[in-house]
Amino acid sequence: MSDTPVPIPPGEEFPPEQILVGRRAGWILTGFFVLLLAVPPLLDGVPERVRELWTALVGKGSSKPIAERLRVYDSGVASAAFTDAPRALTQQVLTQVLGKGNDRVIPGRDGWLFYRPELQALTGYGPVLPEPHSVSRDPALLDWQAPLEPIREFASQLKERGVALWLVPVPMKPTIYPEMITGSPAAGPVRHRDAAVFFQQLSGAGVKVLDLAPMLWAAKAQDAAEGPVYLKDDTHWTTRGLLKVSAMLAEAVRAQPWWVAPAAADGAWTISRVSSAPGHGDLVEKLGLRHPDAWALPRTEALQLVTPAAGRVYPDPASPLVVLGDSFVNMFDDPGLGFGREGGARTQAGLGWQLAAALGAAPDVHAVNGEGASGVRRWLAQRGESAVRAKKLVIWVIAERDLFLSRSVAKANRINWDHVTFAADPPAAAGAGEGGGISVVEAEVVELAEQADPKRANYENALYTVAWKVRKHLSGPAPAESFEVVHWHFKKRELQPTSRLEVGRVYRLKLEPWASHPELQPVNRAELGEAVPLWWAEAAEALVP
Amino acid sequence: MVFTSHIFIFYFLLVSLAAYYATPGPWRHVVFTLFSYVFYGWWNPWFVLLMGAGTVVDYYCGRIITAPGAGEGQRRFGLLFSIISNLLVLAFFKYAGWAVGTASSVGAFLGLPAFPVPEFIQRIVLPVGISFYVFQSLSYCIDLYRRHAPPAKSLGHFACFVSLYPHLVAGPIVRYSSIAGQLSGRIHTIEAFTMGLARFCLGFCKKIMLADPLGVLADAAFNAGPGSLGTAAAWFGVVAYAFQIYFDFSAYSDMAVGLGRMFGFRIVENFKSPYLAASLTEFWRRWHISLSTFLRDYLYIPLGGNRRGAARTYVNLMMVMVIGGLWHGAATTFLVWGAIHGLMLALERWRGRKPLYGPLPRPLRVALTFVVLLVTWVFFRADHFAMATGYLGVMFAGQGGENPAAILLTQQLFAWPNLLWMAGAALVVWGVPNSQQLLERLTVPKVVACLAGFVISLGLMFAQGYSPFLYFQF
Repeated sequence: MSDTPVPIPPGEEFPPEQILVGRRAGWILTGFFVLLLAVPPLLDGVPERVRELWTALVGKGSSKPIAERLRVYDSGVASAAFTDAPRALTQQVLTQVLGKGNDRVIPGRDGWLFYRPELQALTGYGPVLPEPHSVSRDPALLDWQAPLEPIREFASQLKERGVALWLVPVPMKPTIYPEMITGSPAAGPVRHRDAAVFFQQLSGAGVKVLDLAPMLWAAKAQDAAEGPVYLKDDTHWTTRGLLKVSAMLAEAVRAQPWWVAPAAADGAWTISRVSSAPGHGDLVEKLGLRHPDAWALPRTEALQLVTPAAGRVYPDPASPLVVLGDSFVNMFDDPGLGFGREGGARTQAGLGWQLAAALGAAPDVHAVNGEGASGVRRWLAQRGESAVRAKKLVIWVIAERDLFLSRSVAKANRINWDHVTFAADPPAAAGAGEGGGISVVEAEVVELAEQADPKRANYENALYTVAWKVRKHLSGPAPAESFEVVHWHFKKRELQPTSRLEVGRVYRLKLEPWASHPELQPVNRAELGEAVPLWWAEAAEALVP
Repeated sequence: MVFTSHIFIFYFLLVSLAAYYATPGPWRHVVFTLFSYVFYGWWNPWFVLLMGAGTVVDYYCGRIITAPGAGEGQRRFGLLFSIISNLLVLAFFKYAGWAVGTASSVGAFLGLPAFPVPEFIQRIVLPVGISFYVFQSLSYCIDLYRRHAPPAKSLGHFACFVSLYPHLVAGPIVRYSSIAGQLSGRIHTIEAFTMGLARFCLGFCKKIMLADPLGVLADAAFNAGPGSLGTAAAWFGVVAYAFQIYFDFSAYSDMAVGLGRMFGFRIVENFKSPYLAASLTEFWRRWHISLSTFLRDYLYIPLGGNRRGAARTYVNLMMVMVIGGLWHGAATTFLVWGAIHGLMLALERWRGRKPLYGPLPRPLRVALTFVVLLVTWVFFRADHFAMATGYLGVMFAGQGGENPAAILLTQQLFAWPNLLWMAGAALVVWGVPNSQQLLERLTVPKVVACLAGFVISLGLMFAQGYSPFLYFQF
């Protein structure tokens, strides 16, 4: 065939153009463009980025496929420090001038803020009529499990062990305060259309559902005198809302035939009123403003502090009552959620503490921020047969949005409804973190739990679990050959050195029993999902290969 | 990699430009090809093998077709091998799951024994942009067979044509004949580079300032559960989507054209203010022009075009648009989208190439055309056929909105910042010249304005995040 030029097909001709930019101006404008793009990464630290890219490409530090590793790398680049200042400044302008939120926060009226996934949960598909799924769109959605079956299964396993399950869905803020979005009063709480049917399905499965919405809605009538039941600039409830709920739960527990009021409860739990340290709610933090104080002044919350008398323990592992929960239980207890006291110690004003005061005895409490759907159930299931059979009732407090999110939004928000299976009693000499003292070992990283982006995570502190294999036991109680350790991922959204552990590399660890750190229990934790006892290690010293 | 991602903007773009211009002229297309493979492999490095294998197969099919002294049998063999291999790749990655799923549903409907869709088929991941580069690669062999294009001078040249990263994953669909000369020799001037830079920045602004914020509104409406969407909100949502997809896709094309200029290539234009069209026929002369000309030349005309009588012309139009619909995605929704377009084109043809609403003044015809397009966009956007019909029920039959939560969604959509954004978008769509017209006479103030918009858009990208281009999924 000849190599003669062929006419361009009709419709593909190039349009005429006129470039009236001289060479000098062209060079200046191009130079500006190049500098604009080159300077930020140079300030960011190119060698470090190149090293991270190499790690992502060769697979060190992760057992994930290369495509996933590259997405994690992308996410790291997107969170580079040089983006912080322009991001915050732009958001400040968007929020303050245009009243615009971001992908996580929707501004309402009179300074009220709403968490976008809550609106998505209220208005989207739900657990009864699920979101239709087209396999040609996102194959990964196939793996997502709807909540009904895992909850049924959990309740059934508890029932086999003689334990009742009460589910306490905490209504979403727009359910109780829709007028702060719409501007017009509503006749009643705004619920998801599946709510009534779904709660009936759960009741049919032997789960008692304590619906808080009518009670909190009724309490709104007194808002003018007593203040709202939800915080304006936070996802969670106020002390007032919390006390209403704890009183309702305590009354219901006291009505149980097996409940025996503790003797000499008077004075065992002292109540005092204090103010929280001034601060902004989690939704202000999620907005990421440059000057949050310019948008709304920091404020305090009246806290009801509960102090146990000597000899009283909180939480009480021997209590027949277990409270499982998420950040709603940790609110006013975990200082990482804001509204803590000066000093940063646990606040002792959360739901578990209020129940202890109201009942005269501490329940067994396990609440992890963001892990209300699966993590806390897994914790209970791993306690062992005897420990679970000693319980009478599990009160499971969970953000209602976790129950009603459609599968695509739930997946995007990392809400997973895992099946959990109750474990047998652990062997007496497990060599595990649940008991014993400090161990020092040299161990190799086997697997890392998936780590969230610290700048996008819902919480300012996060832990993650790492699977290890012992190479050399140096001192203290010997852990099992394969064991799991909880490490810091980020604190105050700053990545910690232990977040950069590499699979296959050997480190020296000083292991402490995980249970010996109650202050860390509420912190959001990415888990591997293995039913093994945990250790805790503050640091990991890399050994030269 | 996405043009509006941090990794592309702050690392890949400058590194690829620097490497390209640091390389001696004759080797630049090789460097460009390598960077294009890195760009594509960033989604999943394994897909690079697929694109590479397709490139080698089509290059050698082209050699078979154009071999000196090749007889008709040999030429036909080369063509068929290329067509079959390309269509098999598309069939496996894009259509297997849908075909098996549809067969299963139809079988169940007819009372035949049910068979589940095998797990591995459900989990096939669609390689990004496969429909674009497979079509381009395929068109090369067809053009060689028709003697409409010269053969590639080397495998390197052909690999550069297939993988050219500015337009690799979302078009415009470039034919070999329009780029063959540029592969051998390109003229690089600072003036042309500045033109490319301005066009790239303009596309970036469209994507970040308009497409992404409107996408949030469209997503809110289309993700609404039954009863949560009122009629007004449904209309608002689909208009937001119509604007989103135009700004998103045309922004990608602007960036592709701009990047091409920065590397010395001229890439064909893909849009000419499509929502100014007064009929569907006109719309397809303004929207995704490279696809419509591709379908015209490689499907409609070979089917007989309008040369075999009126009835056959209508059938051909219908077939071309249905296939065009399925080219976008393996789903019943895309099939219906294509069928509606085919039907409208046939109707307009039947009316003597005049719009159905011919007697009306042009602004009204433009408005009516836009409404018809909105209906088709519902099928294009909905994740499922049932969702599309439900959505249309809300739009036209007033169904929905009975859920008390619907008021929340309505208020969220009609918040004043969103109304402002929608008004701005409408102004750009109907009241402002398109990117090509804006920059056809490039001046320094225009470049400065594009750069200023780019800086503001970077801030928005940091604050609001970015989302992939809609057409990546095709």
